[in-house]
Parts: sequence; C-alpha cells; structure tokens
Amino acid sequence: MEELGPSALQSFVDRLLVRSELSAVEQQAILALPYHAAHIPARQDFVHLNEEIDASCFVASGLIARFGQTASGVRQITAFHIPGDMADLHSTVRPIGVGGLTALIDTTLLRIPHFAIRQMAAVYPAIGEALWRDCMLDAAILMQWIVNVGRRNGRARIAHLFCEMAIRSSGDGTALLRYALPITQEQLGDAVAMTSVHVNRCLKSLRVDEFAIFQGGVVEIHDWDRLAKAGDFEASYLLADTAPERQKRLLKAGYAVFAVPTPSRKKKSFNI
Amino acid sequence: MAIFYINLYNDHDVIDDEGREFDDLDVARAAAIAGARELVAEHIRHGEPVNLDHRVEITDATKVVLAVIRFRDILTIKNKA
Repeated sequence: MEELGPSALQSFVDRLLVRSELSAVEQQAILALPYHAAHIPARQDFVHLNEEIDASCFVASGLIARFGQTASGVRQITAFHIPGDMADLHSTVRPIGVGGLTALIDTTLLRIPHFAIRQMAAVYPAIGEALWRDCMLDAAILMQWIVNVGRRNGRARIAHLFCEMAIRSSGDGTALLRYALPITQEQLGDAVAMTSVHVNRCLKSLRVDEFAIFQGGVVEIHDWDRLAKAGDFEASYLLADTAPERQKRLLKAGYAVFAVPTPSRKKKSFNI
Repeated sequence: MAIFYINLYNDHDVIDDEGREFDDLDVARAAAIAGARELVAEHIRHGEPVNLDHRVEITDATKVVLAVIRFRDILTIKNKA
C-alpha cells in the first residue's frame, strides 16, 4: 500500500471547507483516512460500468472522466474530475460503477475504502453532511451538463464548459482566465456530444470572436463576460453554499425529532 | 492505426492541427461524414444557408489530401415521394 504522506488529502479538506464548516478534529479525521495510491496511465479505464467497487477515488493529480456508453460502444463523458475531487464519493453508499471512470491523462488516484468513509461519517455527522453537500455539487454540475447537451447549440456548449472549468480549476470561487484542460478535441466532443469536426468549428468561432482560445491543452479566456453570455453561463450552481453565512453548520438545527406518519402505498415492484 | 486530419472548408475554414487516430481511411471518412452532417444540421436548425459546395478534407500528417467530401455528397433531398 503506497502512501503519499499525511497531507495527501488536504486538497479534499480544502474543497469541503469551501462549503462546510469543519472543526480541527473533523479535518484531522479526513486527513487520517486510509488510502492506497494508484497511478493510472492516460486513456485507461479504472472503474468499469456496473463493476462492484469498495473504494472511492480521490484525484491527487491528473484528470479523469466519468462516462456512460451505448450498446454499440459510443461513449458520452458525463463529468470531468480535477485534482481535489472525490470522483465517485456517491459509490460509498451505492458501491457499483454507475458510470465508468477513465484517466484522460496520466493520473494519480487515492483509493479510500468505503468502510472508512462510512465509519468516519458515523462518528462525525458534520463530515457526513459535508460529503453529502459535495455529492450535491456533483449532481448540480451533472444537471447543467444535461441542459448543455440537450438544449444549447454547439458553441454555447463549449463556452459553458470553459466557464465552468475556469471556476472549478481555481478552487476558490473565482474564475481562472488561463487554466490547463489537457484533453483532446475528441474528448471535448465526447463531453459536449459533438463530433470533433463540429468542436473544431466552434473553437474557431470562439477564437475569431476573441472570447477564448483552446490550444495545447490550455484554455485562455480573453473576454469572460462575452464567453459567459455565449455559453448561457450562470455560476450559482457552482457557488451555492460558499458565502460565509451559508457555511453555518446546518446540523445545529437538525436534531429536532419528528414523528413521521407512514401511510401505506400501492407499489410497483421491479426485479433489480 | 494512423493519424488523420479533418479540415473543414465552411463559412469558417478550420484547419485541424491536432489530428486523430483512426484504424484506416475508411473509419476517418466515416467520422468526417458524421462531422459534416452534424454541421449541416446545425446550419439548418438555425435557419442558416447550407452551401452544398462546402467540404471537409482528410489529410495525412504531410498534408496530402486523401479524401474530399462535399456537403452535396452526404445529403439526399427529395422533392417528391
């Protein structure tokens, strides 16, 4: 079991602290989680669809994608995960690869056993809530991606993605106007449901209008306001719960006991 | 496997400087046709004119043109049933 040192999970703590208040003891509990490091080469899948898994993957370095796949093998990227992300935190409670995970570039993962995460959340409810919020952020991003591929034109899809990754890459709620996005045009196309010819055409259009340039795995934003407008981008889904007054521990208000009536319902059963 | 480049000569000319690995030219051609059709569809969706002489070209790394696909070659428009 390779270990990278006690501070390897610090960036995950930092990510949680953006939205949740955690005490020094709680932060220490996260840093003390057991893990083993795995180095995944570019273009290698490491979680397969419907595979049973017993650990969540924290991205220490590199870049990974979640993907779904049609029966004929065509892939759709449904998420990018950058360093500091716990790519499949949700698998802690649903330990099956609902999406496959693949390394887009050489990547180092820390695999954290589900049992350790569950144990920690049971001992420290505030951490449990912070993890819950983290899953909610991933869900909010996914919802935006669905709107993107379902309702926006090609240029807007790419503009929206560039704006989103600018904010996510900063880690502090600001937007980086120059950041690494080391993916190919083909992979970009897989994320926005477009052919690489169409991707190339839209990148050219964003470049000609001097909104943004994507070259050599780097996004350079020249005009944030116009790029955001072109991408129909509104950042609140990424910044929710980050304002100081929203970081209060909701748990304080959460211990009221309710008597919940349980009405009988007609149910349809599925054989799962 | 080889790297092919798909250049677009449309309302914007877009030279593919990244290229992509395909099994062979036929597979690259299929990708080029899919891309061209998607662009034509986007034009139609937005009420923009479609110039049937616009084209995609497939080249190798030395910029030798291996195939030319005009938009008119990938569309079938019928006036009558």
